Amino acid sequence: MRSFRFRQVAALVCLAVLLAFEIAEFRPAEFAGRWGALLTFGSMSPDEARLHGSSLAFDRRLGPFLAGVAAATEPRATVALPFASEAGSTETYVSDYVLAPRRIVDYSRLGEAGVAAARRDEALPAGAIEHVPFGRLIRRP
Amino acid sequence: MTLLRDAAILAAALAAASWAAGRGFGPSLSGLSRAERVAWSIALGLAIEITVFLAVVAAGARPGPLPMAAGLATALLASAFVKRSRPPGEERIRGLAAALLAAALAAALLFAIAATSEPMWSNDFLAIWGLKGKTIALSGALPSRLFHDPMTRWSHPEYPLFVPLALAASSSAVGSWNDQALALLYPAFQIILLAALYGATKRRTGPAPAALAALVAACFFGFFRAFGAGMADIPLAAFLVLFGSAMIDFLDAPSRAGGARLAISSLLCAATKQEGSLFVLLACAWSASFALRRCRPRIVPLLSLTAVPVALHEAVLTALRGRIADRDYDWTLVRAGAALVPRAAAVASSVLRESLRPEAIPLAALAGFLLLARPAGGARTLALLGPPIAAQLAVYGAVCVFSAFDPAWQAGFLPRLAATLFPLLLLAAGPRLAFVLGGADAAHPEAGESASLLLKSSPE
Repeated sequence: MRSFRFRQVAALVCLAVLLAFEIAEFRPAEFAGRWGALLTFGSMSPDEARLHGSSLAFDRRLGPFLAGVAAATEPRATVALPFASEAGSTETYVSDYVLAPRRIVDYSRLGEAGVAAARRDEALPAGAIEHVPFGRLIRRP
Repeated sequence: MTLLRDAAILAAALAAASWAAGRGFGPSLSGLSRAERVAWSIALGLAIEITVFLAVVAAGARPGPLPMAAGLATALLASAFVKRSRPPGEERIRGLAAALLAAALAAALLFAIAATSEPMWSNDFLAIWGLKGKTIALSGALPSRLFHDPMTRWSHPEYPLFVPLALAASSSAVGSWNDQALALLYPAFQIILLAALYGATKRRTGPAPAALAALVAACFFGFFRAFGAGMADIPLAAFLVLFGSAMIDFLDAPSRAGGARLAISSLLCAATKQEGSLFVLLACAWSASFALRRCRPRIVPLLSLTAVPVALHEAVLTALRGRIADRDYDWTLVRAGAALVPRAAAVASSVLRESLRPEAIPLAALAGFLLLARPAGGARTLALLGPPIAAQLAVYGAVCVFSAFDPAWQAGFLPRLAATLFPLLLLAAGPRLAFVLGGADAAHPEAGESASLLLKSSPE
């Protein structure tokens, strides 16, 4: 009986440790931030929320640029971006997602694209330039 | 308030689909607790939404709120013709069980707030699940470039499509791609998981251990966090619990309803992640080895209800997109022989390093609990689900050796992959939870009774 009781208490302690470590993963300060974010983002349009969200926090100019390209192109368009990468990169993932369902290619596949776009400090193939926020684009024949 | 409007439409569509599923699949849900019926209804409701979406696409129409509403209305109408089966009455939850359950619900609410706090943002959502879902939803088709475009090889074209299709179907019901409102699907997946875990454990060991299992699962904040919204880990964890419970039920007392649940849950696991297919096959092999020794006639039904749905799913995907190589692994390394040793050492060292960190203390506590606690009534669910879980973890480690990248880097993903198995382990450990509660529920009428009869006389 004593052995049974010991096992029971020991098992309970193990479970309590497990639960305590789980609960320690909860960060009240982070949660408060999340609650504030819910109220803030909830009042925005989906596009505006995306531009201000965490996925574009690494480059706040990239969002308006991509939104500008999206507004200037058809959903069926293939868009060439100088920073798009076959190997994948954070900029590539975000660009492909924000511009979906458009197809994104790098400049080595310029021939497959109907539009080429670049940010201000990036080279753009020759053509009639249209300005978008933080960048420009050209339409290819 | 676009978010409120879109979230309300999404929730209403899912509720309608779930109601139709609960009613239409009622005969397959017989014998389950009320909580399990809720879990199954939501899971099947999502499957109905996806079916309606694919039917609209196949008909050449543009997916949107009207076709989706028409499809869901048809499903509701069809389900009304299915004879209603009333679930058995359940005793009212009170005392310790009620308190634990309330705490679990509070933890679930915290995840719901975190998940929907902003548009989904994790790398895997942007690069894989969200990209495919948005492309499918906004192009109203499954473009072949999702699978064959060299510019998006990093989006894992070989992955299954349940999550992208669930996102696409839900966004079509809403009428726009609102990736903050779509995050609401993740609390729904968590509800599936918790309700299935609570309901299945309650049937076997009583309400208090079941509520404790739900609380331990809901408090897994390292898994249920904003980062997890938009990925396939939480849906897979939920479907693994449905599968584990269906497997135990079927081995315990084979029935047409139990068989249907086993086949459907096998398909859901396979359709969500490749790891789901792997677990179904490992569990199938382990159960078949039991059946081989004790009850041979059960082998054929077991195989046809687990391995066949997985094979069918693979066949459908192959027909849709052809064979796609997994760029994460280089299987030609199999022929490398001794050259694999340093790679295996790198993986082992990475696993060891992780195991010696303070973060591994809860793992040790979990192992201690499993060793010390005795299952109530001799129920041996851990003997059925434990070995496939261990085998799955071993396979995760082993395949890192064949990584096309640095094997140690690949091994860094192991904790996240292993986390999807934790709720399933809680399901397996359910009969042991009654032990720590002072055997409060050991006298539960079903305690130990419904654990697999196949395993009753087997050593654990």
